[in-house]
Amino acid sequence: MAALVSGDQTAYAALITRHADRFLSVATRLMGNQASAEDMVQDAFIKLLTRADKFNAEAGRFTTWFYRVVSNRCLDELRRKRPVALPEGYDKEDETAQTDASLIERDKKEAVEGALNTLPERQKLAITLCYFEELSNKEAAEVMDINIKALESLLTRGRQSMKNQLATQKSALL
Amino acid sequence: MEHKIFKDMVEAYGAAPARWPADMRDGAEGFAATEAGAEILRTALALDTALNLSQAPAPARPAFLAKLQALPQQVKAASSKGRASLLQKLRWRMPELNNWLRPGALSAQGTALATALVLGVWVGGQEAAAEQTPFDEELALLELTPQASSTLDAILLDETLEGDTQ
Repeated sequence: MAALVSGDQTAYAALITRHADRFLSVATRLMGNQASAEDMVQDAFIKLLTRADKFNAEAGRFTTWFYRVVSNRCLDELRRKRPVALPEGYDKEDETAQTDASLIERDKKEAVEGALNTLPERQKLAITLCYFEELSNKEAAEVMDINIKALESLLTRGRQSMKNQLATQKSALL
Repeated sequence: MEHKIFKDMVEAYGAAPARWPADMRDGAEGFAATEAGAEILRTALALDTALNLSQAPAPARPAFLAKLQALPQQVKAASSKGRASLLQKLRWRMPELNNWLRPGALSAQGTALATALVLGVWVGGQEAAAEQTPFDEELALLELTPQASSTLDAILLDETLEGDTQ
């Protein structure tokens, strides 16, 4: 990071190669699609380039700080945007070519994604960071700028809400 | 570890010990070996299994990585000119704009626009001509030939006089 602040291009290139995927992954889970996620990550990197001096190396790791920059950008965008309803059957695929097994599998995945996407943003972020990104509870709390008790509360409510939703699905996931 | 503490922890972090807080893990693993602990884990494991079905997002596209790698030059160029203009920000978002805004591309777009404009006016003129009715043509003729106009006036005058006398 020190090299980046001093304008070292190689340091920036290495940072992209090493970390871009993980930040894009969080943004994709929060935004629900990769195109919007790319925009959010790009905005975060522009912020990094223009305000790299804001990062305090003594206060924590770069990845933790940058997870916060990316997730805050996504949450801002989600709050700004109003959801647009797609026409009924918009994303229906041709099911004739698929086997029953793959359809059941797909239904289950869709049920899980659907349950995740209906969670309030901060519950979804907590689950994404702790479960999918495998951050420690301390790191996840730091990213979200909350204490560990508050993080645990978000995780518990998020998991409970998913459990209730999946229990009502026909696919009987639980 | 107490039953409630273990239950609360598993409800937050799930059934996998790797996700449990490091400072609680040892005690929690001890409780997990009990019957009550196993029952709590069984319930949590069902949700963990469901969450595992959630697909990992696709890795970053090479084109996107290249776009990120090119950002420092663009930010530098913008900051040397002061604040980034709206056009500059649009160019960061849509690199294809650079192709559209090349001088060659601009002249091609101008030519296409002018051609479309001329064609539109010509087609519009043709349609207007085709829509003329015989009566319009008669009126046009009357306006263009004073002789014909006076003849029609005479006919109309005769008809009016005849009508009056009857």
